[in-house]
Amino acid sequence: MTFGLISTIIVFILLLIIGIPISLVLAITSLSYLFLTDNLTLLATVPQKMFSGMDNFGLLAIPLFMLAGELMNFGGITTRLIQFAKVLIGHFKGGLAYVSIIANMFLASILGSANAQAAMMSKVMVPEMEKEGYSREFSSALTLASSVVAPVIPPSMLFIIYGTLTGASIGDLFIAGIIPGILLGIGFIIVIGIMNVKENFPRSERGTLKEIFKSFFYVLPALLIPFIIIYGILSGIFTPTESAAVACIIAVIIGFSYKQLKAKYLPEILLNTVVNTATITFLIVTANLFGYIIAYERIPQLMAESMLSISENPLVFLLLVNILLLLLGTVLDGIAALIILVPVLAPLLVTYQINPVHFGVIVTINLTIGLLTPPVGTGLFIVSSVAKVKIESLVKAIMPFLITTVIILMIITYWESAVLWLPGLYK
Amino acid sequence: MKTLSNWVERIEKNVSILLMAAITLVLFIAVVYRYFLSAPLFWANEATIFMMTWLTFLGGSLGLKYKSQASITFLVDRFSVKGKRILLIITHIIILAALALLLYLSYEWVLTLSPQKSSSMRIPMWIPYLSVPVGLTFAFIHLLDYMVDLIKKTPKRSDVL
Amino acid sequence: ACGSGESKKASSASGEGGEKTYKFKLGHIAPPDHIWNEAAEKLAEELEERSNGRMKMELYPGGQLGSDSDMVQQLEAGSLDFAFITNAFLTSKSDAFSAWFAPYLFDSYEEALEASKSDQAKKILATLDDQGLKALDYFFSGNRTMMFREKVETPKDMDGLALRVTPSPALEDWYRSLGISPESISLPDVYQSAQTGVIDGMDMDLDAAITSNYNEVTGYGALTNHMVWPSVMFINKALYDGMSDGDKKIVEESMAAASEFATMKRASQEEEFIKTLKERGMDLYEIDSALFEKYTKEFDEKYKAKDPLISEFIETFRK
Ligand code: NA
Ligand code: NA
Repeated sequence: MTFGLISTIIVFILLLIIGIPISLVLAITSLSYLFLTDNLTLLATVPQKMFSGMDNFGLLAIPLFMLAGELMNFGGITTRLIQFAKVLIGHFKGGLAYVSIIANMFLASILGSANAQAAMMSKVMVPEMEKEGYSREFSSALTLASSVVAPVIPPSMLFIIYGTLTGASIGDLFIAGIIPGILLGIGFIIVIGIMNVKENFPRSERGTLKEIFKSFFYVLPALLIPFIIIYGILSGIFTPTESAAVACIIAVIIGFSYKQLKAKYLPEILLNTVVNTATITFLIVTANLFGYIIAYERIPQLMAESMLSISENPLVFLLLVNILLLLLGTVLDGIAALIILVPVLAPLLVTYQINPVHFGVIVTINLTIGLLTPPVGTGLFIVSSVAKVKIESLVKAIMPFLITTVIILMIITYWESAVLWLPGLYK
Repeated sequence: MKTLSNWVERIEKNVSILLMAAITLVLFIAVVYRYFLSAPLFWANEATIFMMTWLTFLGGSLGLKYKSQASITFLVDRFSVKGKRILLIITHIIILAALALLLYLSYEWVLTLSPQKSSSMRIPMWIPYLSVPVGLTFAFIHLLDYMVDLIKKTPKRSDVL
Repeated sequence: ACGSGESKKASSASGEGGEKTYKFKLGHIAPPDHIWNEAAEKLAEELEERSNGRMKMELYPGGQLGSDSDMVQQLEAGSLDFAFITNAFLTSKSDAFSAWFAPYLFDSYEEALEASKSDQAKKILATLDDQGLKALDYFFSGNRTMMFREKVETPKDMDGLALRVTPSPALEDWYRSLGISPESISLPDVYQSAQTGVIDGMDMDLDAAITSNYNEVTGYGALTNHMVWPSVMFINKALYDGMSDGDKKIVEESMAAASEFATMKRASQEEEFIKTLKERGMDLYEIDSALFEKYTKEFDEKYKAKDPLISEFIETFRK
């Protein structure tokens, strides 16, 4: 460790705890690093790196799915959807918590990114659960944790990028994600079940048959949205990113037909979306700068190399990789971490005789956990800004789910067939 | 300062609302043109990405004005109102100094660009690049305005994060 | 220790006895197991050997330092010493680079390599000189082929299809003349777009098809080899200008060696790549290049009118 690196870490922590917005902390830390290590030639590269953080078509899914969520809310679509799910299974104790998990798994089969899903679901589920009597912290934490399934259940941005980096079959990766995705869902359901014993989760009245029919009739046009999205993506009418734009247009039409959405609300809806989006994308911008400096100084490689010199046993290697990724996941986010680390780790797979598809699922779950861990976790930031919950309270409330996710990660790491059985079937 | 900040806010709001609506419509129309009319809009992806960069830097500046950017507040919350004011003055001096440096760097970057055209639309790259210095300038104006308020008077409780 | 201490300031420092020692950084966007990285490793090796260990080079593959656009900016700003940049990107900096995309101009990797040593090719590189960039050499990887979801056997069958094409006007114009709509879908989305049918196929090279498993989503590959795929080797201009003539020569010779090594290695892999894709079940076939003659003429006429350098280049190499 050099003097420059140590003082930069101190600067980073100091800036963070005196309450400077995290996006600016990343930018200021990057700048200080260049001064502390006398790397001033890199200064001229800073604006370009900030710009190129946004130069990515996939990121458009963030504002568009946020807008779709906002429009569905204003248009009374989401309340009807959740009302319908509630009439069906809400009368169980903690029913709405289960509804949230199931809804997340369903949505995961449409969306490819945990961030997009967290943005949409926290907009939709948290106010609804709060209305039912759940605490806002618990509701946001559950919603955020469940969004982990988004990149695990196909389609998945992370799998596509991992496959491109390593040459692993993207089709296999998609299929390999299904069982771990379901395991995660079951894990969360068990957590709710255990919490249900101790906590006094609300339940709603059992719906009558008439109510079920009535709410089904109300929700029918709204159900068109996921149907059109799934059908549109599967039949090649549009890409997942474009599907978000289509969802927005359909949400507007249905919202107007429900007579709950009015043209005069649109500017407010759009402005909300912009501010919520920019808090995330502005962070991506500065994280891209931060990631560039980390890459330039080869910090992830050095960490990886020193950890990997420890053991030649594949099981120990996988454990070390998990620890490394969980640690790096606290400061680096998803795609950036993937792009930096996979090229370093992938060549080692041959040495340790580890299946690249199996490894891809492990890496993806790890990096998605990174979205939930402070200080840098875009999932945390999204949900905290959308649901207006303090990051600290969110971190505390998410602990049981985080631990569950790590347990399932360990199961998947050491039980290879849970991942490779399904893709092996159709060969 | 106040009027300038509010004037900038109005521009940011109107432009970013238009950009968000335009992104949605362009992508939707792109789907219609490609799938139903078999005449893809080759410029749609690039145009929406460029609009998104403008949206990010204008909206990011708005987010700083509205104090909606995520931060860690467990320590700050423990301070008295007076202590918080002092801490806020310190953090804003740090932020403004960093922004001033970023502003200098980004204006120099845009002004010394070598010629480059975008890959699909063939428009000059300074058009999307300009979002960086403009957004940072607006953010600087908002934070300077807030800093002046901080020094002039104790902010209301609701103003303090 | 972080190992980065030495490379902090400028990339060079005076060594003993007046001869400079260097520690370079080279960036490129291809993955570590790609032929590009082998070219980079070869370049590093040659530099070290020819300079008796005075020139060492660290590699940053996989776009660790950013996109082509980012790295070109870093070359200009002085924070990067060497980079490999795609010719496709360079067409956005200077029109002349489009000359390389004239369809069916070269029959083999050897011919393209030969052409890259010509005055015409050097003149194209020199168009970047006044932008603060020093482009010194080319190498070639992955001639372009066409991959389709449904079998396409003549240019006529192509009318109305949507193909993913690397964003560059020359490539897009070529496909438009064939009646194809070129789509600029970003690389990570290409697999899924082809799988679901958002696109009917792609302009791709065999290497990328193998590593990204595009054979799973486009079952038919036309081995057209209609365009070569040059990559341009850059050095930081200020660094180059400050070098002694001897050191400049070492850099140029090392680049030429790396260029020849990578191009010929890629040429030798052609058969193996075809075999791999066939084993994976892909239907690979040829389309008679005579069927494309009309479209090639159209391209030549349009692009010769754009720039005298393009005109000179095409006239020299079109047989
Ligand atoms: Na998914
Ligand atoms: Na994290």
